[in-house]
Amino acid sequence: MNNNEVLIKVEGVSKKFSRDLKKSLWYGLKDMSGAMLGIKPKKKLRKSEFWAVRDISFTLKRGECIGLIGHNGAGKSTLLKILNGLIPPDEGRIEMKGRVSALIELGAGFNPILTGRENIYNNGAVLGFSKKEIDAKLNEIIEFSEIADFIDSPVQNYSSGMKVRLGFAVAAQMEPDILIIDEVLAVGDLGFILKCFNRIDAILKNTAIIFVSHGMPQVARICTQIILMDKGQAKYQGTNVSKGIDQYYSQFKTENSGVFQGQWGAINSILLNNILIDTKNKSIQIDRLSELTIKIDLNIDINVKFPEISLGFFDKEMRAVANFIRESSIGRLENKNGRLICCITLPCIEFSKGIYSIALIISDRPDGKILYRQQSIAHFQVIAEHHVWSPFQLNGHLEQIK
Amino acid sequence: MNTKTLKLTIYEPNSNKTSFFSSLIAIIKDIIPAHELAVRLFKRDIKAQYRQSFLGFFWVLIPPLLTAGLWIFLNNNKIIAVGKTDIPYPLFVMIGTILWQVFAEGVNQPRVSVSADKGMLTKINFPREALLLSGFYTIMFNLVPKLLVLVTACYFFKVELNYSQLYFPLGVLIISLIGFSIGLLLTPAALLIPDIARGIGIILPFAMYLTPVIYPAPTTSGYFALLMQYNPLATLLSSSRGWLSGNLDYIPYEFLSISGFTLLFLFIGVLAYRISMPIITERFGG
Repeated sequence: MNNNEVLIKVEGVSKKFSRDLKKSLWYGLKDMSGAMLGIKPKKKLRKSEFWAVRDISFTLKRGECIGLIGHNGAGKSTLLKILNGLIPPDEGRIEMKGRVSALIELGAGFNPILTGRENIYNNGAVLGFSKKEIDAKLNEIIEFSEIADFIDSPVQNYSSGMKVRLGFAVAAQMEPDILIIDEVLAVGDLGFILKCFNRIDAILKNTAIIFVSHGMPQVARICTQIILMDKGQAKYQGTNVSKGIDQYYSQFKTENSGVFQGQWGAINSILLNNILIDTKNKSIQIDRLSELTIKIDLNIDINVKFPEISLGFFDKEMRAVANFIRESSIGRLENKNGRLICCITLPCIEFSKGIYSIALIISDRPDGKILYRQQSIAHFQVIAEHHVWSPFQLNGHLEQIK
Repeated sequence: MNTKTLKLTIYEPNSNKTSFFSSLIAIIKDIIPAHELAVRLFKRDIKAQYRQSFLGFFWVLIPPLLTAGLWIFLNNNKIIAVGKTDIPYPLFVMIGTILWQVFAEGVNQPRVSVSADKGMLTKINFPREALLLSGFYTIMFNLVPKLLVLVTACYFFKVELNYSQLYFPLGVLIISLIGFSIGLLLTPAALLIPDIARGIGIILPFAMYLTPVIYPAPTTSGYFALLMQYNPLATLLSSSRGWLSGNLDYIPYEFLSISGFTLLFLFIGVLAYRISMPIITERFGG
C-alpha cells in the first residue's frame, strides 16, 4: 500500500446559494434549461445569492483525516455535498481517487413498515452493495448493530438510536478509499459511539477521511489537519489541529446574561483578571494552569446581613464542570449598607481547552437558603496545547522510580 | 494494492459537451448498475404497500373500473348516447379506461418515484436512474391485475382468439412509455415547482375526454375528427383496442412512427433528467 498517495485534491472550490426560495427555484429552472442547451452559467452572483463555499483548497493522502469545523451555516455540509458529487461546484475542481463512501445519513432507503432485516438490504443497495455482498455480511451486520432481538420487527417500532445502530452497522461494512463523515455519530448511546470510533480508527489507516463534527474532542482525536470555516471561507487551515480548535471556541458568541436585578440583589460589575466584562467584552482568554481572579460588585438587600457567595462552572454544552464553595466558614462576608464587593482567586485553572461560563449563587449565611442564582455572568476561554475529552486535565508529576 | 489503479472521479462546474451518441452510451452504461438498486427499491415499495393494505391489488383496478361502470350505466340508460361501437360497449369502455389508466400512471410515476426518495437525493450519491427504473417496474407490476381483468372481460364477451392479440402487449407498452416520457420530461420542473403536479392532475382527466376512451373515434370530417387524427393517444388506443378485440390485424404506419417518437422522447427525457438532477439536488437543500 502506497501511503503517500494523494487521494483527494481540491482546488479553489466555490459554490453559491440563494437566500430567497422563489428566486432559488427560478434560478434552478434557468440553470436547468441553460445546462440542457449547453450554455455556461455566469460566475457572478445574482440577486439574493451569496457564496456558501468560497475558494476552498486542500489535498489529502491515504491515512490522513481532515476535520471541517465551524458554526452552523458555515458551509461545511455544502462542501461535503460537493465532495460527495451530489452537487457540482460553481468554480474550482475536485479530484477523487478510488471508491468514495459517505456517512452523511445513516439508514437511507429504510422503509418504516419493513423489518430491520429487509431494510439492511434496502440500505445496503442504496450504499452500493450487491445482494450477494449483503448476504455474506448479514450476520456480521446484525451482530455489530447489537439489536438481533428486534431484527425481524418493523423499523417504525425502533427508537432513533436503534435506527442509527442498524444504519451504521451496514455502513461499517464499506471498505472505501475515501470516507466522508458528517455528524452522524451524534445520536446513539455512548457505548455505540465508541464502537463506531473504533471502527473508524480501523479503516483510517487505509483511507482518507473527511470529517465534519461539532464535537471537538472527536475532531482532536482523529484529525491530522483542520479547516475552520466561517461564511464559506477557510478562516484557519493547517495541521495544527489544536490551534484551529482554539479559534473555533473563540468564535462562539458568548452571551452573558447582562446586568441582573433580583428580589434580593443585583450585579453592578464583574471583572475577570481585572478586565471588565460587559456587552462589548464578553469573555477573556487565559492560559491553562494560570490564575483567574473574579471580582464581583453586588447590591444585596439590606436585610441579608451575612451573605455567602459561591460559583458554578459550566462547559460549552452547559454541563456542570466544577464549583467554587468556601471550605471553611471563617471570615464571613458582611453586607455593607446593601453593597458587597469581593474577589475570588483561583490560583491554578486545571480546566482543559475550551470555553467555560460562570454562574453566581448568593445564599443567606445562617440557614444556607439560596437567594439568588444567575447562569452565565461571564465567560472565559482556556488556551491549551492539547485537547482532551474531559473538562479537567490534572496537573501533576510523573517520575520514574526504578 | 500498488498495482491496482484507482478510479479517478473529477467534479467540475457544469461542462456539457456531450454528443447524442456519447450520451446514449453513458445512459446505457449507467442503467446496469442502476438496475439492481431499482429492483431493490421497487420490491421495498411494493412489499411495504401491500403489507399495510387490506384491499391490496384492488386499488389498482378501482379507478378504471369505476369510470367504466359509470359510462356503462349512462349508456345503458340512454342518458348519454355514445355512437355505435364495433364491440360490445362495456368491453369497449373497459379496454379504453384501463389503457387510459396505464397512460396516466406513466405520466405520474416518474415524478412520484423521484419525490418519494427526495431525502436520499440530497444525502447519498447513488445512480439517479434507479428511481426512474423502479418507477417503471412499478408500472409494469400494476399492469398484471389490469391485464387479468381485460382477459376475463374478453372471455366473458366471447372475443375469439386471434393472432392480432399478440400485438396488444406492444400497444400497452408504447402507451405506458409515451406516458412515462411525458411525465419524465415534466419531472425536473415538477420537482422544483409543485404547481406542475397540480396542473397534471387537472389536465389528465380533461385529456381523457379528448381521446376515444369512452366513445369511438368519429370517422366523419370536422374539427373533432381532425383532433382525433392528430392526437397520438387516439391512434395508440384505437390500435390496441382493435388488436385485442380482433378487429385490426396489422400494425398501422402511424403507430410505428408514434412509437419511434416515443423512444426519442424517452431518451431526451432521461438526458434532461441526468442533466437537471444535480441542480435539483442543490435546490432541495437538506
